[in-house]
This record gives sequence, structure tokens and C-alpha cells, in this order.
Amino acid sequence: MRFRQAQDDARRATQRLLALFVLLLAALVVAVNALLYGVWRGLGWLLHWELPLPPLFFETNTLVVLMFVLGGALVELGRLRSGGGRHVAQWAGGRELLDARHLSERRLLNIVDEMAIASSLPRPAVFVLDREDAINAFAAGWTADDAVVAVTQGALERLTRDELQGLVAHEFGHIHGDDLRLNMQLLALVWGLSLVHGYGHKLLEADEAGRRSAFGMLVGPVFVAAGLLGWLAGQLLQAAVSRQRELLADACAVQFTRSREGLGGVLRKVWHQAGRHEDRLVRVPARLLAAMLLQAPADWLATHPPLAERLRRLYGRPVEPLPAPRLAEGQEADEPRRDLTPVRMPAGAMAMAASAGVAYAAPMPSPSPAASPASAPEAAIPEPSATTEQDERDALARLARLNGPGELRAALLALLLTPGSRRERRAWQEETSGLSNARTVREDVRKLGPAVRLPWLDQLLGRLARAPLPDRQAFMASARRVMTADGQIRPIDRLVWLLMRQRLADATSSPPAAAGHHDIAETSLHTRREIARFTAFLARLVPDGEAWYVSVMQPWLAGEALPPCEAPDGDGLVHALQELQSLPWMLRPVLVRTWTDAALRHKPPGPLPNDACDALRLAARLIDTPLPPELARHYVEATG
Amino acid sequence: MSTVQVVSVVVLAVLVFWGVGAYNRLVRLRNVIGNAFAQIDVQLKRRYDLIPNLVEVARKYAAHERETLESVIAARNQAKSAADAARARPAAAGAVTSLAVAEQALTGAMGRLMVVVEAYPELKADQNLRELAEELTSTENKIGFARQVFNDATLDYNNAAQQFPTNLMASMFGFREAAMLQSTTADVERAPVKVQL
Repeated sequence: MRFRQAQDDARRATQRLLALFVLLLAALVVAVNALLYGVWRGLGWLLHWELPLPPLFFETNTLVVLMFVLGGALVELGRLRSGGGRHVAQWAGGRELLDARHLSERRLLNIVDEMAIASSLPRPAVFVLDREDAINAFAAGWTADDAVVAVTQGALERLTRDELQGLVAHEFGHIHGDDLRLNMQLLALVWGLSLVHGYGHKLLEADEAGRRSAFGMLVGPVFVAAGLLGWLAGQLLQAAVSRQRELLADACAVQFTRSREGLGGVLRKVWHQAGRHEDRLVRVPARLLAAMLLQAPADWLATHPPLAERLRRLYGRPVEPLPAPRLAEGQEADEPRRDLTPVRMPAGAMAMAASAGVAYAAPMPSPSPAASPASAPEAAIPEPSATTEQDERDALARLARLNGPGELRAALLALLLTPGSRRERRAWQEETSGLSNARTVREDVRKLGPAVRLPWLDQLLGRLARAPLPDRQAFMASARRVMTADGQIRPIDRLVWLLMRQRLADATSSPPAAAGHHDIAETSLHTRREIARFTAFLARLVPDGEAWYVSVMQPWLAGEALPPCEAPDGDGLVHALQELQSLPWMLRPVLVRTWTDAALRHKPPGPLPNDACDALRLAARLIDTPLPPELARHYVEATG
Repeated sequence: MSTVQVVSVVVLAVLVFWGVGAYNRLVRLRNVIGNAFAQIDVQLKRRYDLIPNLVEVARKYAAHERETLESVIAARNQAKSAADAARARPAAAGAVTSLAVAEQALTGAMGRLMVVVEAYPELKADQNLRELAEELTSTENKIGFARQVFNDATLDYNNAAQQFPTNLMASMFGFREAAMLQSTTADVERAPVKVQL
């Protein structure tokens, strides 16, 4: 791309379009005058009456039209300006990035600094749109001094450093070209044009007494028709200007970075996402911010040229879309780094986790086979179980009255303790050292029987989920410390950990599940394999696990090789869980049902062991499915 | 006053006005260069600060690569003193040229260090190193972009100082030609040390 020439072209095209805007206004004035003159003459002809034109006929018409368009635009402009860039970014759900908590955020701040130098512009405020997984970005603000640049979380995770630079450079191109101001001015002008149309409607309407004035009926249609045409033409022109400014910003990005690969990579990845309908913005009102975004939905009023066209101009030849997988922290191109692969979580968990720093790197050491409950020496030591029902009831009553975030935290952490592990208890004591009644809280938690522990975990997590994000992040860090204090993670703890992450992440809309399957056996082989992996993990907690696994999976994998019953590692578990979470809602209860029934068949005489119940309950909670009655019977749900 | 006198006064006034204008323009352009250099300078200093930290982290994992580590430090010190010299007289061609040479040596040494880093997986995965590498990458980029701006400003200044009739003013008041930093638009130069882990 010869960026200087491209810039000149885009600037010239903008000038031409702006000239058309002036022509449009003139045409509107002429049209209204001509139509009204026609109406007047027509009236005279109908009444066989030689009507002289009223004094100042053309002057009044012209003044009315101009007053509506320009006056309206001025009023609207004042309104648009009052917002300011920061306001827009916050309104779109942005979080201002003042200091980086994370390498990827540091990288973004650095890149913005770099572009400020390259473009000789002041450094804008930087925002991250936490919940947006699509690659996109926008710039907002009236002048370069109060400009902001907002980038989606998806862009942070899916773009390489060079690509992120291209993206930021494009937004700097908008700031450099003063596009934000131009765009707002045109928006205001289009609004002013719409007022003419609105005025016509107003004239046609009956007044309060239900009467219509003859004047209104004669003049109204003129304003309605001329105003409508003017408004439509204005919108078309505005969109055309916006498209030119996009091309200009693309050219500026190349000028600033002296490379087309960065921006090219971004556009190719966005194209790929668009092809898979993954480019929707969740919270950002794309329509309203369309002209500011990197790429916006295409239609006849498209504010952006088609991606293929932008790429063709960039590279001078057609190029292909590029898949946009999440990249590991600091990873460039295709250099897989096992230990740094981000654990893929549902978008909401990701949003929280990414800022909390827990999503990256599998944080928990893999449990060794020796750590399974039956053989782990520490887990085998039973907790002194000298608790009576009365004790439990008193303890529950006290827990229900837990006062303040410190006690809530202490109680939750106490629920995570592995019974009998001294090192975990010590870590817990350190975490709660500031709390005077920490010991009582732990005693109360210790008194809880297996039937109430998980329900209360749920209940307390629900309370903590309402706490501000930093508190939740701090809690996750503490929980990790306590759970890993003895150097081993029980399989059940892993499920608890996942549940905590899910519950404490910001609420999200779950991805729409594809309907169409009525049986798990009909789902894709990949899905069934992931189900097998997750089931294999549960098999370590269910009695006679191997046989249970086979009886669960065999019917669904008929005709396929049954994967061996091997528990997946941390990442594998998370991936499997994700696959389960994206099952259609109708199939998820079937899964829990099958697990439970098979477990009941394989259990030794007597009730289902607590670990098995807990594992199935946690799994059901993780995939957001009610418990089957046989399982629910094991628990006393927490109230209050 | 005779016509000749009037004409000569007018001509003189025009000449003085033009002279003052041209002088001020040259000064302004020279200041733009100074400012652009200050941008580079800040980043260079920052890079000179970052490099010893990076070497320290590397020493923890790769202590017996002493030769490489020390050559990086030596090149860094060399470049630092060259930058000090250039800072004193930004528009002097000699100082900027020697800085360019010293920078090239540093770039080479850093390149060898990065090859060393590649060979030590634990070093490569070190969180400190990753953060330092990001900072260094960003600093390199900023230097690159500031150079771009510096060269644009230098081009404007040299054009003004060499074109007739401003070149008369330039030579009279000692506006010497400013040196450009070498080949900033070439990709090789733009990304001197690819610190990507």
C-alpha cells in the first residue's frame, strides 16, 4: 500500500462528499421552495383565483429549513460533545487501564505509548472492554486531548503484538484525522435533516381539539417528502464519509507502523470471526458506535468498507481470512507453549480471570495418582467426628449470621480445608490472621456434616459473588494458597476450584447452545470424547470407577473405540468441562441422570459414598443442571 | 528623500524581514530535531537501564555464558557514552554517526544474548525476563518510531537550510547540515532486536 497516496485519495474523497452535503442542503432548500410554490400555484388554479405570492415567501421557506437543519444540528452537537470520550467508553462497558495488572495489559499500554510517539499525538486514555470476545476497538473523544482508545478483551487475547499495534495504530489514525469530530458533526447534521421531516409530520397531525389546519394539510406533505429524501441522502452521505475515513485510518496505520502486516493480520482475523459469527459485541452498542469501531456490521448504510476490500487495498491483492485462536500470554505466532496455554473458560470467567491473573497457566499442580482419597495418607486420617446434630444446627445458625466480608472469607476458606491436613490449616490461619473470631468460624465449619457442606459452599459463594471484583480476586488467591498448601490437590478440590471460579466470575450470558440433538449418542465424536474425559475424571471419585465409566460411556460410544479411563490433566479437564457446558440444555440433565443411575448401580450396598455424591453434585452445578432426586436426597440445602 | 533612498529603505526592510523570518524558521526546525532527539534519548536511556536488568536475570540461569553477557554490558556502556556525546550537540553530524555505530554494536550483542536465551527454557519462561522482554521490545519500538519522526524533522531542516536563498542565511549563522539516523524505514533496522519469547 502506498499510504501517502491512499491518504490523499481518502482525503479528497471526503472533501467531495462534504461538498455533496452542502449541495444536499441547497437542494433541500430549493426543493421545499419549489414544492411550496407549486402548491401555492396549484391552489390558485383549483380555486380559479389569481393568488399573489405572500411577501417574503421564499425567504421564509429558506429560513425555516435552514433553521431546522443547522439549529437542530447545533443543539445535537452540544449534546454529543457533552459526553466526552471517557463517558462513551464507560457507557460501552469499558474499564480504564491506569496501571497494568497483567502482561497483556502492560503490552497494550506500551503499544499505545509507541503509537503516540509515532503519530506525534498526545497519549489517549486506554480502556479495555472486558466482556467482549470479538476482536474490535474504538476511539472516542472530541479532540486529540480528550481522546480515548478502547480495545476488547478478545483483541488482547487473540492478536499478536504486531497485530495489536496495527489495531491501535488504526484508532490513532482516526484521532489523527479528527474523524471523531467530523463524525459527530455529520451525525448532528443528519439529525438536523431528520427534523425537517419531523416538522412535516407535526403539521399533518391534528391538534388537541382534533382539528387539522388547512395550512398544515397543504404544507405538511411537502416537508414530509422533502425532509425524508434529505434525511435518507444525509445518512447515505454520512456512511460514505465514514467509509472513506476508515480507509484513511487504515492508511495512517500503515504510515505510523510502516508495516501492513499488523493491521492486515487484525482484519484477516476479524474476517474469520465474522465468517463464524463470532464478531458480535455483547455490551457495546455497535450501531451507535459504528463509525468509531474498527469494523461494524455491514448493510446498505455500512459505515465501513467490506473487509475484503480493505484488505485488498492494504495488500494490493486478495488475501484469505486468518483463524484467531486465543494466544498464550506473550506468545507470538504458532509457538505452542504447553505450560502457558491459557485455560479456556467461559467468557465471563475469562473476563474475571484474565484481570485476576488466574486464567493463565494451570495454577494447580496435577494431583499424582497417589493423591486419590483412598490412598492419600493425609486424607485418610478422619476428622474427629464427635459432632452431634445439635452442634451442627448451632453451627449453621452462627454461619447464617456471618458478619462482614472477613468472616465470610474465613468460613469459605475453612470449607476448602482438606480434613486432617496440618499444613493447609496453617495456611488458613495465616490467611485469616486478622480476624479475631476466626477460630470459632473454623470450629463451626468443622462441625458441618457432609449433607450441608456443599450446599453451604454454594450459599456462601453466592454471597461472595456480590462482592467487588478485587475482593473476589483476592479470595481466589487466598483459596489457591490454602488448597495447595500441602502440595497436593484432591480430585474433589479440583472440582470445587472450578466451581468457585465459575461462581465468582462476573455473570455472563452463556453461549447459545446448538439445538438439534436429542441424544448424547448423536452429538459429535469430539463432544463424546470430551464427555468421556470428564467422566473419567469423575470415575476417580465414584465407587468402582472403571466399571462405572465403561457403563456410562459404552452406550454413547457404540461402534467407536472407548477411550481408556484416564483422568485428564488440569487443562484437559477444563476443556472437557467447556465442551459439556456448551451442550444443549436438554442434554445436560441426561448426562447427570446417566452418571447418577450408573453410580447407584455400581455402589456397594448402602448409601452412595459422600465423595461420589459430592463429585456428581459439583459436576451438575458446573454444567448448571438440577440434581436428580436420588442425589438431591443426600443434601440439606442452605436457606437464608 | 529621493526615490532612490525610498527604494533602498524598502529593499532593506524587505531583506531584514525575510532574514529574520528565515532565521527563525531555521531555529524552529532545529528545535524540532532537538525535540525529536529528546524522544529518542529518553527511550535510549530507558533501554540502557533495562539491559543490565535483563543480563542479571539471564545470569541466574545461564551463568557460564559470561562472554556473551559481558559483551552486551560492554556494548551498552559504549553506546551510552556515545549517546551522552550526541546529547550535547544533537545537530552535529559526527556525534550522531558515532552513536549510530555504537547502537549497531549493541544491537549485535543483544541479538547474541537472545540466541542464548533461546537455549535455556527455564530462562525463557522466567516471569521477570518476560516482563523485561516486553519492556525492551516496547522501548525498541519507541526508538524506532521516534527515529522516524527525527528523520522527518531532519529532512525538513536540511531542505530548508540547503535551498536558495535560505542557504545564505544558514551559512552565515552556522546552521550546519544535520545527520539522519540510518535507514529507519528498512525492516531490518526497524526491528533491531526481536525480543519475542
